[in-house]
Amino acid sequence: MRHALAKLLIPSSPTLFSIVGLTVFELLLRLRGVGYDTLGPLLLFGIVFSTVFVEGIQGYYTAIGISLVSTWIAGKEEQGAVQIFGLTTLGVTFCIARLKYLRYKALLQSERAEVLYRLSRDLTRKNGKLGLVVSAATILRRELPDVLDFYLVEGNQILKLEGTELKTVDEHLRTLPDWVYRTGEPAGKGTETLSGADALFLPLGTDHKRFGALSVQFTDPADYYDRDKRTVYETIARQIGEALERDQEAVNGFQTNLVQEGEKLRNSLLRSLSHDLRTPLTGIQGSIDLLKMKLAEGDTRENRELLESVSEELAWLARMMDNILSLTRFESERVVLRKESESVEDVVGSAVRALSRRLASHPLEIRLPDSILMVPMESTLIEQVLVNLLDNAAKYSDPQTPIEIEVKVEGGMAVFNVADRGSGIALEDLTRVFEKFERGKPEEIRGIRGTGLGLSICKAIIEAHGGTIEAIPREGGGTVVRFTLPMEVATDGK
Amino acid sequence: MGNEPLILVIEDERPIRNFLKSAIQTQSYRVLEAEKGREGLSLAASHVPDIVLLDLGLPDMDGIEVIKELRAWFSAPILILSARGQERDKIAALDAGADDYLTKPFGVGELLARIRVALRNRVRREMNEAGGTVFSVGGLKVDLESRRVFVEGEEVHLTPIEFKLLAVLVKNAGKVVTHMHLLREVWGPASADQLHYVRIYMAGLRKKLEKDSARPRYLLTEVGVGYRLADE
Repeated sequence: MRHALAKLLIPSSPTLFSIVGLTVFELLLRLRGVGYDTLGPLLLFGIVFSTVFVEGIQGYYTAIGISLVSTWIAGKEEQGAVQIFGLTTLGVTFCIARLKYLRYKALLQSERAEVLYRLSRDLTRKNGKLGLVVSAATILRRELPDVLDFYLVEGNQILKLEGTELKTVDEHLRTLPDWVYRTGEPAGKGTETLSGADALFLPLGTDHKRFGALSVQFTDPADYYDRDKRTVYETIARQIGEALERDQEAVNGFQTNLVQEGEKLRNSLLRSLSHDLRTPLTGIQGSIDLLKMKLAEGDTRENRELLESVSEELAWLARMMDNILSLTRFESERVVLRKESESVEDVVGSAVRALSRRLASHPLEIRLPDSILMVPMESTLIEQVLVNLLDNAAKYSDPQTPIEIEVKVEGGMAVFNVADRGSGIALEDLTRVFEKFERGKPEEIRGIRGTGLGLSICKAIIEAHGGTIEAIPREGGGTVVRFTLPMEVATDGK
Repeated sequence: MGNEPLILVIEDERPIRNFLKSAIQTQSYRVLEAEKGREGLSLAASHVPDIVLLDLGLPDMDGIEVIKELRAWFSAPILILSARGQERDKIAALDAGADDYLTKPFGVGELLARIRVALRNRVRREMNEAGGTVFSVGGLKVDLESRRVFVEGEEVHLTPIEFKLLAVLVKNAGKVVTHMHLLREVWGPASADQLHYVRIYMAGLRKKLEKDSARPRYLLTEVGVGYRLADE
């Protein structure tokens, strides 16, 4: 740039040539006695003509030079005309210089626009963070005279692009890129922040998201204070930022897609598992029922009891399968509950009906609020919780001992209590039994079969509803399992 | 022979088909079997069964599609066989025109009860056209014409909406009726987002008709789907 300035200031050969040429021309015509009324316009034309072909400011030299020559040549009586001629020339030259400057600026801008265009075209094609930065660096370094460096922030590391690789930046060089990344403000040389640095640092990113920093070392130190120059690099940094953002969105989109695909797969797997397991169960259950019917007359009690126990085992298998399927569904992180405002009576009644055969040997006491209690829930899941709890109550308590179900409202929550007079749960096991595959102490479960899944699925279901579940030892023996469900109605009107 | 009801079973699993066939034959109903949806549709067209038992998970076509195609001309009951946890599918099947469903695994008793209900409904529909309007089950008696309801011989007074709700269930006695169906019939199509009405009024109805509303004898809940009025 210093060279360019020199080119503008030192009179160039075309300038000198036109000054000499026009002086000779003026002298020749003057010797022939041509007056300044004719000579003036001719000279003006010559100056304008030559100015167009010289660098911006040099036109002034020609204008001033010829004006001085004319003052020297002209006679006293013609000084007035020469002065007018000189002023006119200067004015015209100024206009031409101004025009040239504007044209120069426009040219410069279109060149930058070309770089930016090429950059953005390339960035939209490239995918992957590193690929984007490398291609941006390649284009910019080829097209622009200044020294550029690229910094990316990954976690708490700051990486600098070197060649086609990202390398961790040394501790003492982190300050500027880190500051720029965190604040989103330019810093370094030419700014008010850390201006002692040897480069200008600009944030690399968009208004929403920053990815790192771009540093610029201008070839011409004066450019650090040139607003236009900085704007160009700010635009470039934003453009790279936009490309990085698009890339990240695409990656995120791809991952969401993967998750959705996974969910779809899991669901279809669950459906087919559920179908595959239910088919034999249905077949066995049906066949046993038929056998029972056919053996009904003249059959020994023993045979019938045998069949009865097979039926019970089957019912247990079916319940366990429901639990496993629900658990699998809840393990898949993003469970979206299909909550509806349900009446508690419906759900309790239906759970009791589903287990009626199993509960037949226990007196059952149900206490519901007098008024109709509506609670938002996914009813099939809460029914499953109640079935599991009632099943446990029946399993771990002796026949003829009562089982109680109570539902009430306490502090904005619906509270469900399922209580038995069974063997109880040891104090130290009260929370453990809600873990997956965990059960009470061996001496307490006395060879009663279980998978240790029932309570853990209850916990998953209740917590997904925003409630809590706990087991409480009961005064006089037995256990109360208490769970809560929030009463507020979902805002989507469901 | 020849007058026994004809039941078409559309189910791809042979063990289940066998058991369904044996169970149905204990009642001396006649059975037709189809393994696939297409085959089932053509058998239905050629034999015009009295009931169709349809598995929702067929290999060749969606169960809902089978129902839709059948319902284009077929008016006899369609019973769905489906799994627990597929309440949405059940509702979709019922909306498409199925009459009821059985959740796998189900027992023979339950199956035969549903078949009886389906056959009775058919007879009742014919009867209703002839003017039969009194329904009774256990201690519950509902006279649709005089709009009077009795429990154990005692008359019970219902609000107009409660009676309408009960009447819809009576007309579908033994069959599941979805929440949406009840809502449409009782409150009209404009209140589609007021599903909780049904549950609230049902709870009120239970308080008047049931001895123990937490263990109902007549108004049974089908969790996630709707309600069923017991008819046996």
